[in-house]
Amino acid sequence: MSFLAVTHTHWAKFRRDRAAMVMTFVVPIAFFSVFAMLMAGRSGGTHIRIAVIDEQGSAASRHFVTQLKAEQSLDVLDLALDGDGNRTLPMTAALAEQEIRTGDLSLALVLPPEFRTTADAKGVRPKLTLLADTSDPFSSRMTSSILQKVVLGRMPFDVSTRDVLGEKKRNPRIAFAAAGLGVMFLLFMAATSGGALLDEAESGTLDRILASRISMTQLLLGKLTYLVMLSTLQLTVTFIWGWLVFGVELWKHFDGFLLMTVVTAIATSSFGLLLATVCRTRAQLTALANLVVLVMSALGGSLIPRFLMPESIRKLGLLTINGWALDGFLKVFWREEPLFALWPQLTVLLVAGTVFFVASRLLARRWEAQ
Amino acid sequence: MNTHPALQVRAVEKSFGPRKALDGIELTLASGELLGIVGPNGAGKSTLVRAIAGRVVPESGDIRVHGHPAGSEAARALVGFVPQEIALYPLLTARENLSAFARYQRIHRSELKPVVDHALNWTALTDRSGDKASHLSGGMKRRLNIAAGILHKPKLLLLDEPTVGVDPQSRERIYAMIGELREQGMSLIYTSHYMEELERLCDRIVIVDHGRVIAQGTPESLVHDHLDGGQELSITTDRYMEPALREKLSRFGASMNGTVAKIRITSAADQIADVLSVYRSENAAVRDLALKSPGLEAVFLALTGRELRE
Repeated sequence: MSFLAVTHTHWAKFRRDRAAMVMTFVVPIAFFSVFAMLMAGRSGGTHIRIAVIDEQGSAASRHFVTQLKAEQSLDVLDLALDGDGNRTLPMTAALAEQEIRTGDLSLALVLPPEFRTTADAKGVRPKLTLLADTSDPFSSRMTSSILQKVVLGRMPFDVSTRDVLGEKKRNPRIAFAAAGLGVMFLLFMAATSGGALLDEAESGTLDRILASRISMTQLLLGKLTYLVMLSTLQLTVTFIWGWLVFGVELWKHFDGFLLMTVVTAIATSSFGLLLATVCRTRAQLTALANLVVLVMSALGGSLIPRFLMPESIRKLGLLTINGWALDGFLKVFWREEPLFALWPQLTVLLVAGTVFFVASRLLARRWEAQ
Repeated sequence: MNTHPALQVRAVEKSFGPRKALDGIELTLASGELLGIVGPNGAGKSTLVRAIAGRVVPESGDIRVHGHPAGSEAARALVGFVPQEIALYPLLTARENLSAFARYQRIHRSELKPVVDHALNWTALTDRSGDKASHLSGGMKRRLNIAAGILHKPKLLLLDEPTVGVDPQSRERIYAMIGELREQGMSLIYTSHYMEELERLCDRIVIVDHGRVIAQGTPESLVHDHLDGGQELSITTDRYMEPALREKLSRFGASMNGTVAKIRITSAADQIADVLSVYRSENAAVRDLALKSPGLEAVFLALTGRELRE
C-alpha cells in the first residue's frame, strides 16, 4: 500500500494550502449559491411585469384591465416612473415605450380608443398592441397566451399543470444545479491538482520520488486516491450547503448521492491526471483544462440542463463526463429511481475512469527511467 | 557477507538524441570511500549520478550497487539520491517533508518520528522543523535536501552538486554532515564544480569530460601524474617591465604580461633566489610575490585544454 504514502503527502500539502482550500470549497459554493438563488426566484412562480395603458377608458376596457389584474401570473402596472424613479405618473404608450427602451420595463399592453373584445360585424378581429423587449421572448409569448385566455374568458375548462415528478419534492432543481456546477468544479479541481505532477517533474521532486521505493504506478494511484477523496469531500460540502441553505433533500437520497459522487469523482480525477500527463507545462495544462472543461460542461448540461437542448446536442452531451454524471444525479434527486437504476451511469463513468487512468499511466512513461 | 564493491560502473553508454552523455564510462567505488566527480557542464556527471540512482537506463554497459543492478528494488533500497535541485515540497514543513520522503522509503510508521528527529538534529534544523520549506534560507533548504536522501540509511549516497548557491557558513555545516556520514561507513559519490571542496573532502577524484573518465586518482596523485610536479612563481613589479628585465626573465621560461611575470619552477628554495637576483640587478621593485602549488584546476586545464567552468 505504498501509494497511500503519496495520498498522505497530498493531504498534508492541501492542509497547508489556503488558496487551494478556497478554490476547492468556497468558490464552488459561491457559484452554486448564485445559481440556486436565481432558481429559487423562478420556482416561486413566474410573475410578468406589464404596463397596461387604457386609451379607451370605457366600462368594457376597465373591466378588461380588472381581469388582467386578477391574473396571478401578471404584475400589472398603470403608473409610470417620474424623474425621481417613483411610479407616480399616469402610464401612457409613449412613457411605456421609453421605459422599455431604458430597460425599466419589458412589456406594455395598449388598449386603443377603438378597443373591443369581440369581432365586429365584418368579422374583423379586435387588435391590441403589445410593446415588448424581445430579448425576453418568454414573457411576451406567455402574455399573449394569458390575453387569449382573458379575452375568451368563457373557456370551457381551466388548465392547470400538475408537476408529476416534482410536486412532493423540495428544491430538486437546486440539487440539479449543485450537481451540475459541482461536476464542473470537480473537473477544474482535478486538472489543477493533477498538475502537481508537472510541478514535481519541474522541481526534481519526481526524480527523487521515483529513485525511492515508489513506482510511477503507485505514484499515480496515490494521486488518484487523494483526488477522489478530495472530490467526494468537495461535492458533499456543496450539497450539505445546499441542504442547510436551500433545503436540498440530501439525506433522503444520501445513498444514491454518495454512489454517484464517488464514481463521478473517479472519472473526473482520472481525467484530471490524463490532462496533466498530456501537457508539458503548467501553462499548457491551464489552457487545455479551461477549454476542455468548459466545453464538456456546456455540452454535458452543467450550465444549461440537457433536456432543454436540441436532440443532436443532447446526444453529444453523452460524450462527456458531465452528461452521464448529471443523468445519474437526475435519477437520484428528481426521478427518485432505485439504486440499481443507476447502473448505466455508474458503468460508463467507471469504465471512463479506468480508461483515463490507464492512458495517463501510459503517457507518464516519459518520466520514468529514460 | 557482501564482497562486492559499493559501486561498479562498467563501459556505460547513454545518448540523448545525437548527444552522447556517457561514452563508455568506468569507475569503481569501495565501501566507505568518498569519490568526487568533477567535470564541466555537460560532461555527463548528472547523467552518471542519475544512472546510478536508476533514473537513467544505459544503452550498454552495467552499473551495480553492492552487486545489485542499478534501478532494481534491492539497489534502490541501498542508494540515497540527493538531486541537484531543491527537490522538496515547498508547502510542507521541514518535518513533513522528511516524513513524506521517509514514507516513500517504506520506513515503518513506528520508526518515522525517531528517524525524522535524527535527520533534523543532523542538519541542525530542529528549531525550524515547523517552518515551511519555502520559508527556509538557501543553506537550510540544501541541508534539508540532503537529509531527505539519507532517511533510510543508504549504503551509498549520491550527492549531485550539494553546495550550489550555498553561503560559506552553510557549506561548512554540510561538510560536517558529510564527515559524520563517513564516520558511519557510508560510501559517497560527490559531484561538484568546486575543486577546493573536492580536494578537501574526497578520497579519490574522477575527472569526467565528454562522458568519459579522463583521469582518476587521489588529488595529490592527479597533480603528480598529470603535471610535472612544479610550482608557479608569480612576481608583480610596481611598473611596466623594462626590455632588459623581460629578456633576462625569458631565460627562466617566464610568461609575462604588463607588470606580472609567471615562472614555472621545480625547486623553490634554489630558483626563487635566482629569479629575485634578476630583479635586483635591473633595479626593478617587487611589489608582490606568490608561490602556488598547482591544483585540480590546473590538472583539468592540462588534460582538456579548457577551464572547468567553460
